[in-house]
Amino acid sequence: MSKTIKIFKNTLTYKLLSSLAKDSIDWLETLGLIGINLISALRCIATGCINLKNTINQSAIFGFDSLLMTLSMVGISGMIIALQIAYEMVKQGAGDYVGMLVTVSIIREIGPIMGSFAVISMVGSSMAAEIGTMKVTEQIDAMRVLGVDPIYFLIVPRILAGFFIMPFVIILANTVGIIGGMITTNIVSELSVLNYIDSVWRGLSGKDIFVSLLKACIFGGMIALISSSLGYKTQGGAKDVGRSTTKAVVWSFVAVVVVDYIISLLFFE
Amino acid sequence: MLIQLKNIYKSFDDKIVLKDVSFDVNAGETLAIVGFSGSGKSTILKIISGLTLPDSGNIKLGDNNIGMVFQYSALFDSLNIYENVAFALKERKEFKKLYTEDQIKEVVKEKLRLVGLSDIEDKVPSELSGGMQKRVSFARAIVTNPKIILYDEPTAGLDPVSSTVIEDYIAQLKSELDAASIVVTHQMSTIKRTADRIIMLYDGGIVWQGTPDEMAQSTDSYAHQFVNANREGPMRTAAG
Repeated sequence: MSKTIKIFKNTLTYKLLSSLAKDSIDWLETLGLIGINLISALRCIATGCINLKNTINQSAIFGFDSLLMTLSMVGISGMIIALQIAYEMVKQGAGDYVGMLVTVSIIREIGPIMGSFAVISMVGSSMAAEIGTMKVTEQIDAMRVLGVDPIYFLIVPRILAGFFIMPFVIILANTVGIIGGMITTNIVSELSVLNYIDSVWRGLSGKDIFVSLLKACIFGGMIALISSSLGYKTQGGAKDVGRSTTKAVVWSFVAVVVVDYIISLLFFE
Repeated sequence: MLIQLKNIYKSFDDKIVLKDVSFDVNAGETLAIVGFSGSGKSTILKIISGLTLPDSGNIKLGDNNIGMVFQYSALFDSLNIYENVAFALKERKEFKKLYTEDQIKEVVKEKLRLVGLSDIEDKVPSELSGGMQKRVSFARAIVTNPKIILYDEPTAGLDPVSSTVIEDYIAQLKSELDAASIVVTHQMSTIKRTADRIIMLYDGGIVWQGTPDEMAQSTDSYAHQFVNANREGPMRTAAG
């Protein structure tokens, strides 16, 4: 019997199954930790346990570190959308709708999604690496021994910064995206800037802007929560900090896409 | 009695790290915990400081205010030296109410002076040598005047002279604060210069205890092997 078990343990099927089981446990652990940290952070916020200085510092980091990247990504995305549609639409006599289409695409999806991707790569990864390094160098243990809750000192300020600063970043990014679309439209088609702007105004709706900002708030807070939590989960050394950072980026990407789908379903179905 | 541990058991996964460990430490006393790497020394400190929970056993602490000096200092590298030392006073609710910013500045200055440092408040940890970082971590650990101080390999990675300086500070702080101190170490010089009592851990349990003088003269096979750094004896290291 034990020989059969030994042979089975050497098979590829066993190795695949055990690897799958290990990944599933790790996945559930991560999800659990994110949930626990969210509850602890919300409890902290509800009781007014907020480190204002850290929140302001993190807000500055959140805004400035990702701004150029976010504006570039959303701006270029707006240009690409215009490039794909402007020439053909103007040729078909639908030039009046180019600005509207670019605006709706940018505000509803491209701005929040591409903006979040930029923030994940610039800010989220750095958060996970910083907190991960603090964990493996016992700085977080030191904080706890000194009687200070790392959730209060490290995670809550980052979540608040993400939640409140991300909308500003996305408003700017959306604007740059629409302007990018305008420049490209003007270059590839005969549509005038005034016609494009007129079309943009007709495309703008309060609901779209509200949903875009709602997404920005949720994505910002979520990126900070996931990145901080995965950094906090780090154990080991430098290699594990790298692994946590990669995981933080992957988890944040997936979470943003999934939550974007749910919000879009709720508001635009 | 400020620290009392009774029948502590702790394991990580399948590995038993501590089994039936009991000891106590009085005010003004320094206990050295010695043993080979991986013998569970640091786990005891983590249990006392609340960083890890034991699987079973009782811990009684006479004071919840604990200072701890970490093996590699563990200074907050995003904060300067002043902010590091003042951390507990600025961030802990009970101290926030007690101190004004000017008073915190005074306390930080005094604690840094106690460990022989001055005019470094604006520097960041990476600008200091290993020995200075260790002294800053001492200042940070005692800023709240704790009655329990834990040292995790305080002289690890330091040159002999810096080690002596650190050992002198451990002895000095003990007398100034009248604290119960636990020093985890495997350096004989640290044991001789700081400890009142020693317990030796091996394989998760206490295999010998006594004073530094008793250790030096002991014929006990464990104590003898440790003092003389013999490969032959009842203890085996992870290195073989």
